[in-house]
Amino acid sequence: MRSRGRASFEECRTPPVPRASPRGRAQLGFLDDAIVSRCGKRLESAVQLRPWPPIKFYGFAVEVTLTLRKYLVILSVVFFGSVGDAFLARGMKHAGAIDIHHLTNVFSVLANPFIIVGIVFLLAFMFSYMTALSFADLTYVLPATAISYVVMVLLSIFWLHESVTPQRWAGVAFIVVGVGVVAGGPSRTEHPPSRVSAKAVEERV
Amino acid sequence: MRSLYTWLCIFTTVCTAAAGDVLVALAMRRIGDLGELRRRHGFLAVIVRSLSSGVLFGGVFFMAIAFFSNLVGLSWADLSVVGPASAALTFVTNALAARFFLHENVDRRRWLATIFVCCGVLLLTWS
Repeated sequence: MRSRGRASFEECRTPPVPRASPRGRAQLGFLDDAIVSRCGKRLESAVQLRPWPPIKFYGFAVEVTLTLRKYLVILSVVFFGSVGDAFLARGMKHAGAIDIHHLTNVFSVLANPFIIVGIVFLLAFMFSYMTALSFADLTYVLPATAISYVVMVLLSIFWLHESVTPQRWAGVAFIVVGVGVVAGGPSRTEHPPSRVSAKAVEERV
Repeated sequence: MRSLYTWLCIFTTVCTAAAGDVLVALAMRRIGDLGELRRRHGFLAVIVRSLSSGVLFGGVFFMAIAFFSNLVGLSWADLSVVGPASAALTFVTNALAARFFLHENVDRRRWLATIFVCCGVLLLTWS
């Protein structure tokens, strides 16, 4: 999907940002990692990212505010977090309860393959969580990734064969609505550039 | 007395979890978009920049305290008390901390989402 935005003359007076894409296209959209105008200035706002018009829902405009790659990063936070927790739960069930007076026994569970896979998944979760925080606000990432609670409920039904009460389904519905509300809004608070950051940008260019 | 210790643990978990999240978010904001950094300078630069951030390690340290405080709380009280209280309160505290320390624009939409997720987590973990 091609971007619809155009940089104004004033915006184009800033030094161009070199683009590392092997495809080398000048103006890009939702499916691309970075949005760069004809003059090379980085453009990344809802206007340029809009592959379809915003949907109005009870006064909130639900629209695409991130590139596809960034939505995949948010999804990977959800996936690695919930699957890692499920692996740890499975491993801890297999290992049995740990006595409070023999806490050093906790190291013995590290030999369990489920625990090892769980730790690897949680390391991947931490990396994708850090990546998500590098391009979006904390108050966007935390509610948006709360969908992992829903994934954990689904995993507990289909993998751990646990029963889910109507109260839990109501909780799932609340979380889905909350995630829908935040995910359709802006992902980053734009702060006015300080003197220090402006100098850093100049040095980078 | 045991109830007081439990709520002290929940309070410690909530505060340290919020501090950890805010510090990690601050560190990642200073480092910049990791995807762009990887495209420009390679994956090694991402690792070096991340590992050289003291604020990031501070955040991970507070997250670890939150994890162990939660474990201690779970050993003193039921999961049905500690789980919902710490998870729901952490969401609200994070929103407040992001508003005041990170100066994020926590508008009506984000408060609504936080409250919906809080209610959902309470319903999920209290049952």
